[in-house]
Amino acid sequence: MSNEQRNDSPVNAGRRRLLGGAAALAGLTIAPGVFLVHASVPTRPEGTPASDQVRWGMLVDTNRCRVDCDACVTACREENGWEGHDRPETDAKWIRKMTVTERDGRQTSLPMMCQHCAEPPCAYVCPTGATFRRDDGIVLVDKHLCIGCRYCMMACPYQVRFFVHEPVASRSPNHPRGKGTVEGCNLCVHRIDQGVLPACVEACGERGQGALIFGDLNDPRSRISRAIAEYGAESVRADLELDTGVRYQGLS
Amino acid sequence: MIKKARGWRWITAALAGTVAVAVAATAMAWSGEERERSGRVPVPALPAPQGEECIEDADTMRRQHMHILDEHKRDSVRKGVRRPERDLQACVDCHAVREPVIADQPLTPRQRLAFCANCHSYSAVSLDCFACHSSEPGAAVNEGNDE
Repeated sequence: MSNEQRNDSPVNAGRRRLLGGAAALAGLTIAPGVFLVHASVPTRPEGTPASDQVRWGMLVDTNRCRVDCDACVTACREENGWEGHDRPETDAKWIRKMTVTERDGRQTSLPMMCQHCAEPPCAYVCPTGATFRRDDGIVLVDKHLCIGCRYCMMACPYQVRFFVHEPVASRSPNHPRGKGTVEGCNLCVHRIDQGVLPACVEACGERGQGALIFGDLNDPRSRISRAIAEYGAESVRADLELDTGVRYQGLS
Repeated sequence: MIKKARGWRWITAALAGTVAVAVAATAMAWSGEERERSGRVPVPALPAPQGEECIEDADTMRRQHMHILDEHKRDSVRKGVRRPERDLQACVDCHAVREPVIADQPLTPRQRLAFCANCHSYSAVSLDCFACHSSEPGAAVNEGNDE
């Protein structure tokens, strides 16, 4: 009742118009930039296999990433259709926000998801060959072969693989999910194959801080390679020498 | 020699008779009504697809769809070869039932994919695809239908 009264007041109607106008203006100014970013994912012709000439990677600028922003997480959940059951210990979180607190109290926020290692421990321990690394560097689970043994979850040092414990109520056409299989970030492989940016990168550019850069690590002219060449980047747990596809800036 | 020729004639006549009987029996078995009554389990009714033609002719699809899907599954998941017209989602987009069976009630997955489920239940083959894959037709196809 009080909500309705508030909505009817002329002051709020005016504010709403103003906000609507501002949102429309923001949409216009964002749109050209977004278009440019879209064009930066090279497409390959339909019917051709992924090539090892390409290595997809992602660069996270932790100086831009904010503690209170989870645009990437929301976008991933909507795109791939994973949801929680209010059980934090077992719920799927293909991508999660982490806050690292340094000894001096400085806080760094970063998204943590599958790091798409060149030497993936998950794939080495998989007894059925369900976990594999595609030629373009994306680490995937072939759920047709996954028997749900969860060795990969134990092997992964980043804790970014999840087991589906319960029947899945609603499924995204983008990503099949089923009880009894392991899943994790697939770098939005269905979007990459269409030449579209992963959902998290797109959302971070549109609604977030623009902290994520996606591209081909093998191509020295790509935006991600130039950013790494210019400012440097590091892997989380670089000591494990897994040659991760996801790199971070501003960690140390 | 004569005896032998007589024997051949007899065998030829017998063969022709057998073929004629076989043809007649097949024709009877496959004529619509006979087919309905032929078994204890009624032949499944299949909802009409949305699209004009499938990726292969109906006979090939009936016998080979599992092999086509299996091959495409390996190619697309492991090698990244995308052929949208061969995706399971393309099957769903074309074959899923869209109108509610009971008015104002949402379709169950079984009703939606009656095309797959009716035949699989007739031939007693379990249908596992939709334990993980979505049984909802894609948005693009829905838009196309609204026009």
